[in-house]
Amino acid sequence: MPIELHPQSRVQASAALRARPASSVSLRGVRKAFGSVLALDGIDLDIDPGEFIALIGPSGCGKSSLLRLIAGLDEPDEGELRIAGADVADVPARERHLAMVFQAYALYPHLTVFRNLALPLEIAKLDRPTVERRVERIAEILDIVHLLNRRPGLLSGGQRQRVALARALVRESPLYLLDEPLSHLDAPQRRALRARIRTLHEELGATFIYATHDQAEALAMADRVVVMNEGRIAQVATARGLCDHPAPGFVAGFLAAETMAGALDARRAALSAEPLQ
Amino acid sequence: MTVLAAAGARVGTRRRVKIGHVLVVVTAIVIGLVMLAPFAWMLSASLKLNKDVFTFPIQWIPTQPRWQNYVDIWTKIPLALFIWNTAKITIAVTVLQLLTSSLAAYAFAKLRFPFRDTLFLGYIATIAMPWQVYMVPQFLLMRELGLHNTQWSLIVLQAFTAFGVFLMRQFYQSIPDELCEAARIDGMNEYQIWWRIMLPLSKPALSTLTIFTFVTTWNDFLGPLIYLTKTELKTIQIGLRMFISQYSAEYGLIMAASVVALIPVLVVFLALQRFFVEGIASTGLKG
Repeated sequence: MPIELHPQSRVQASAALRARPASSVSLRGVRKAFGSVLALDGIDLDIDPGEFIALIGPSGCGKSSLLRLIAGLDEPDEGELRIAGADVADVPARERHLAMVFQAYALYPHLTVFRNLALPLEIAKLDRPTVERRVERIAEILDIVHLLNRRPGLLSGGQRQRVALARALVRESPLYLLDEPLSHLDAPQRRALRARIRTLHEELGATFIYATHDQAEALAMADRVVVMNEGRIAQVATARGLCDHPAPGFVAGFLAAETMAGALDARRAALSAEPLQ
Repeated sequence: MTVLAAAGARVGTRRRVKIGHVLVVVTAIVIGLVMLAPFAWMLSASLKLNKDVFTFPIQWIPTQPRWQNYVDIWTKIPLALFIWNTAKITIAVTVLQLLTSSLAAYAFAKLRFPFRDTLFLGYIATIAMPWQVYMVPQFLLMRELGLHNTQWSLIVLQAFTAFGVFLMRQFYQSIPDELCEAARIDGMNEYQIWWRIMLPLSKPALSTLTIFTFVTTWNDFLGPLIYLTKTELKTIQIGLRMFISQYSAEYGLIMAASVVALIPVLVVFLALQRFFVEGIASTGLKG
């Protein structure tokens, strides 16, 4: 009997992790200043468990600051932040049970890709077979199996970004924060990974908060899009709602400008392609 | 050495030898010889009889090398015991300094707490105070604590250094904060981040500090002189003085023992010097 009990409890433990329900996130009047610069100026936002939220806005609008605040890397000067209903003002980052993808990758340079992915699981005291199974699975999904024995220094930008994504997704946590996770990839890679991230979101059933400067990405992936400008939320809407009824002023202008820029890019590409033929 | 080799190679490939290059190479060779001469003299003297050590002109290669010196040093004084004592103190001090310096440096470089930078400035300001100024009050303090004439006194006193903290902190500041943040989100506490992320990344700084600490502690004369008076506790550097009696000194034996005492320092230096310039800390990030 005791011999059987052990593996069984292990199975239960990993099942419990997967069954961990997605977290809601709720912000009330959150303010954050860095010196004299007001990064977040009164943010009110409710995110439902399991939702896929995209944060968009021009650079410097407060997307990253908001993610860092939710992650617990910075503390708000004012306001309330709740994760899964609990006030997390006094909860350090490592106890918030969330995973984050950094724009600058932040891979551990002295560890192989495999060890980079395995480390968060080892810290969570998962047993060896579970760690290996999860790492291999996520490596297959993100197409980095052949890189597992290499160190980050030997990888290309795109490969590093996939590894950074994998290190967050391997955690199977109830809340994911992604800070421009695809910004260093080329367009075809980005399109392919968008679909995979979306699939993983469905599969994990977790809450995703995804910061991007790419409107198309936000509109394609998110359940709801949060448009930010100068530390404030300009509009929260579904992709459909945003396109049909953009808030007058900044949002409408921002969407139009992006559309124009996209059109111009397409035109430039088309024009420069012609002489080659 | 590498400078010389590089200069030589450049001269070779250029064919037209410039006077400037020649001057640089000649100066480098002269300076190198001046630096090496005392070592050569020590080696040569270690193979001579006491009466031949100071003959002039210097006989660099003894006609009859006296290898017996290297046998006698082990029996005339308890040299093996002195080496063991020195090794014990040096290794303990080096390990403790690496631990305390890197831990304190991590806090000063990567954690946020009130008066952090003021405390740090105050701490490194103590580097400016020469030890000779406070060694007597410090000795009185250690005597009150009952650590006088124990090797613990030397270990405890040297376990913490402002210089080590300064050196490690400079290095840690070059490691991006994102790595620590990613580790925090991955569920690590600060000690785990220090042990699993920062220490493995700081091999160059740790090697540098190891060399500095090891060499300083191994060669320390004044510290053991003040604190250790019993023969069985002595280190090599003060033990060598036993070759000096009231009316004579065994210079041949002193030099032979000095050569032996030099070997561990040389080994540590050669083993760690390749890490000096190695920097891998930022390769996991963008760019």
